[in-house]
Amino acid sequence: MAKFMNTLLRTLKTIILPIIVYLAFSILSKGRFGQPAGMLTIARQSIMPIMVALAITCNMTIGMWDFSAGAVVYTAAIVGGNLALMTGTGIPGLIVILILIAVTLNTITGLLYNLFKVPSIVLTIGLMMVYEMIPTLLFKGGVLISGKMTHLALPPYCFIVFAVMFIIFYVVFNYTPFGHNVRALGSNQAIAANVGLNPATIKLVSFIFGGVFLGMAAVMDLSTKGMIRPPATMGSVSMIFDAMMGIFIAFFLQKYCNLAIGVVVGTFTMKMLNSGLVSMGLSTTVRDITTGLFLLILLCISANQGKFTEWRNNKEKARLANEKFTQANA
Amino acid sequence: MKKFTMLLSIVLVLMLTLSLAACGAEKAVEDKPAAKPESTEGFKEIEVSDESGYPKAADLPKHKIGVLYWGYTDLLGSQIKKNLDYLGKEFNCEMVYADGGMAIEGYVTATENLIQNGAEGIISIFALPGMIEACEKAGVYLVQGLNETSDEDTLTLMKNSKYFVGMFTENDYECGYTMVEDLYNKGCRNITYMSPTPGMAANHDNRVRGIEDALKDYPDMQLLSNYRGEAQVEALQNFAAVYPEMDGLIVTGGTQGGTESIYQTIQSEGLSGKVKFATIDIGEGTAERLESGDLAWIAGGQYPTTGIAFSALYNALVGTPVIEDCTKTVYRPFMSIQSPEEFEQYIKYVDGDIPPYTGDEVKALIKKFNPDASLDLYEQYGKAYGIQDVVERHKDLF
Repeated sequence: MAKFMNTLLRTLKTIILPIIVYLAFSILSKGRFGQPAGMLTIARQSIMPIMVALAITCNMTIGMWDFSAGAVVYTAAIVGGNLALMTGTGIPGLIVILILIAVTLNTITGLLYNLFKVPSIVLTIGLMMVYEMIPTLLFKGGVLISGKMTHLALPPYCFIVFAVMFIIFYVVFNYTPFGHNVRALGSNQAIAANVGLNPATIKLVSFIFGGVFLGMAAVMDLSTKGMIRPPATMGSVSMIFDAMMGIFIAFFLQKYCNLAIGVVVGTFTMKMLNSGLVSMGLSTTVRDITTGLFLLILLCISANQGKFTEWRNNKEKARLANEKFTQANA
Repeated sequence: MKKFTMLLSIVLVLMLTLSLAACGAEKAVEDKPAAKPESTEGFKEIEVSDESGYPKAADLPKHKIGVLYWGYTDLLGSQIKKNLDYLGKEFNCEMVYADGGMAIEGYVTATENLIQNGAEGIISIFALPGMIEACEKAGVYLVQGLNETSDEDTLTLMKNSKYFVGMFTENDYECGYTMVEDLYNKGCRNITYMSPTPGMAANHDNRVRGIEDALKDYPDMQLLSNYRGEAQVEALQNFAAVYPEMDGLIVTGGTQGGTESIYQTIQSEGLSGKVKFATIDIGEGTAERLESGDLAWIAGGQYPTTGIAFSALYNALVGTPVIEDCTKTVYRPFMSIQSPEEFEQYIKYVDGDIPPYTGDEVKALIKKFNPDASLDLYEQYGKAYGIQDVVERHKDLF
């Protein structure tokens, strides 16, 4: 019973943020937001950012930033999409080729990271610009797919893709030595290295593993938009913001739930926030300001989680000390 | 580590094999090809009639003209390039193209690069203060095409510049107004609109003004929401999620693949058959969307405006300027298309082998060749422009 109550409490704590966002916007938009059909649409739209989020979760757990993820998605979609069209391999070709390209690019990123030993933020910003130029060099006109090739963006296929990818991530992250190593490295790199883990190899595998999800994100993005043009310089960075915010929420929630579930909940919450602001009829400027403020608050809380706990512990210690002091005086 | 190296090798070999296979394979039959390789084949050579009396290209002095536009890989961009390449040949001008991209920050640098590259005149979609100053300093003529400037300080700079030629664009306000009017007439009462960030491009801002004013004139038409920014696919997804009653969508422009992305998003969001779409900038798949009825109204045919801007630039270059007040925009109409039949005509007469304005027709705007050339003639060209006008002028050429 106690175990059940504990699970229930943790589940409630996990879904409290999306529930608050849902209720707040349902009330503020006078019922416009939150209709079942609308929520299903938001769920469908969350799949692509969830893929990106899952792709960079391992890296971020280890403490590595990956700003090149958006550029990898663009490059995989444009180059891979064109190759799939040329080979006439349809959806299977699209999936395989895009994943291979994304994995290759992420492998290069991982190898360079280990080779140069520069901070990941510096390396991935540089590589982002390099990767963004690849489609411009190879397929200046971008990629255009239509008809059957876009079916993966439609329900129920998009949900099947999500389910498969989520299960892969969940299993790898929770039940394989790699997932364990990532978590160990994320907790304390020095200790992990001292007990015999090889941080360089783990980081490289983390990039490669992320590449699979970036490839799938590219498939979903291309299937939804149909047409993708090469991005302008640093134009791909906006793609990873929703995903990153989802991960920050996930880090915040991981006390109550598995990180993989937290990523899904976090990214879905961010999508709900975007749609909720639209449903309130706010102008684009107000919407952008509100989203920015929400993220700022979230980041502040996320970054200072330790301080909040410390403050609470100190308060508790003070209370106990006061009690002892009062008892002693009495 | 050994296992990992092996895995990595397999991945890279697979990647290479697939790439090679892709390059050698036949094109898929079932699915559509990649974005139609934008027609860079060029227009058909049209013989210069002796009766016209206009000089042939070989008899004209060589000039170098710079062109600065968003990009030349989408349909509109490639049409602009094709038209200017054709005029370059007709006027013995070397055309140098610079890709300005979607962010205006790079346009001043691109202008300076074109000047360094020896351009004697520049046709640009933007006329920013830094660009006007750079051209003034270098003695290079600058003309703005497919857009206009409304900022007072920039207009003052233009007025005081010896080298700013003028502005040529479509009547964007009218176009914005017409899109609302057309959707209203087609029964739409709950619409949304999307446009780039305010202040980024005056032409889009003018289209939005037209939309907003038309909405005031049709009070029973409700604006559910709007979006001003670049993430338009995401914005449309949000509209689809929270406005199930949406029956009309306006997008103020779709260069660089925007139109195609919206077509696909309409389909993937299940809006096909529910939402009527009105936009500017013809993209791939327009015929199919007109056929299905998803696309109610589309405007295009604006690319010849860069040719008209070229003629004004050429007039300035050869010392016969025709635009007296360079701060007054010369407006031209868009071509609006509402049916597959109209689109067929558009493809044949406007986007076909024959340019909408032949070399002779553009030479007629050059005062040095035609003493009657004046601002009035430019305005006459603009007033008459439309599919029927092109058909009428070129009936003997087809």
